[in-house]
Amino acid sequence: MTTSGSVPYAVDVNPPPTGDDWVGLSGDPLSVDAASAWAVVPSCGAVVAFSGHVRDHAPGRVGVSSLEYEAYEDQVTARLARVVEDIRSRWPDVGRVALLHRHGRLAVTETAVVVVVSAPHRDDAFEAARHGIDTLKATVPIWKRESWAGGESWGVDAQQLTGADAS
Amino acid sequence: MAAEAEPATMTVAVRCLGSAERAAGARSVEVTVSVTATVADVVSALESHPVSGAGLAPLLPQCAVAVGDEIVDRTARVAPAADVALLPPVAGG
Repeated sequence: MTTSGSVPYAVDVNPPPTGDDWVGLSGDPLSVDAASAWAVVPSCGAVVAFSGHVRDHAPGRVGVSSLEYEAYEDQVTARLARVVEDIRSRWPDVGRVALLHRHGRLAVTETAVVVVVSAPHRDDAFEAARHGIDTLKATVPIWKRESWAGGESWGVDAQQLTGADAS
Repeated sequence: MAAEAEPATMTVAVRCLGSAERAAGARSVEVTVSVTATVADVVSALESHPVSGAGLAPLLPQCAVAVGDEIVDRTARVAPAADVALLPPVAGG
């Protein structure tokens, strides 16, 4: 039920109607442009947007053609929300934060993850966005299977999952 | 009261995620442990599980274990009927 192309649970490809946090796991394509536009607010002069894309190679694997993300769907949204909390505790001036992850099968170049942070000034926006993607990768239970010229297997660059407030 | 009672046991269903599902050959693996078991005891029971143990064993040292919503260390106690999940190294993003 986690690997089907359909979407068995709530999808947040549209911004929330209210609030400054946007987290979601989506079976539909992600738009870094939409997230960046949403993050623009009067108090913030800086918006930093990061998007992660499916690459055509991985360590020891050439010709990666696609990959499939599998998520522990019960926990992904809660853990993404914790990453936002962590960002806000470290950079209290941050305006809006979007953390979005794709699941299911993705082709090379498709957007797998989006991190957007707005802040009054660029230092906070850059640092918070960098911290956001790094913490997401270490704390959110999502796995990928790569299909490449030599076969199909789990990603080899995985890292051990850590608790919420890993620094 | 004088006689030592057999330690009571409980069955824990461990949800196997990501590569652990394939390694275990199942989405969920049941183990029987003492009612006072820690996460380490559950992991040890998984390792010696007659069907899934061989597949899971090489992966277990790298796995995190979640009880309920929290990732816990190996010394944590596992309450009866707790939701236990085995989480291999992640590769999101």
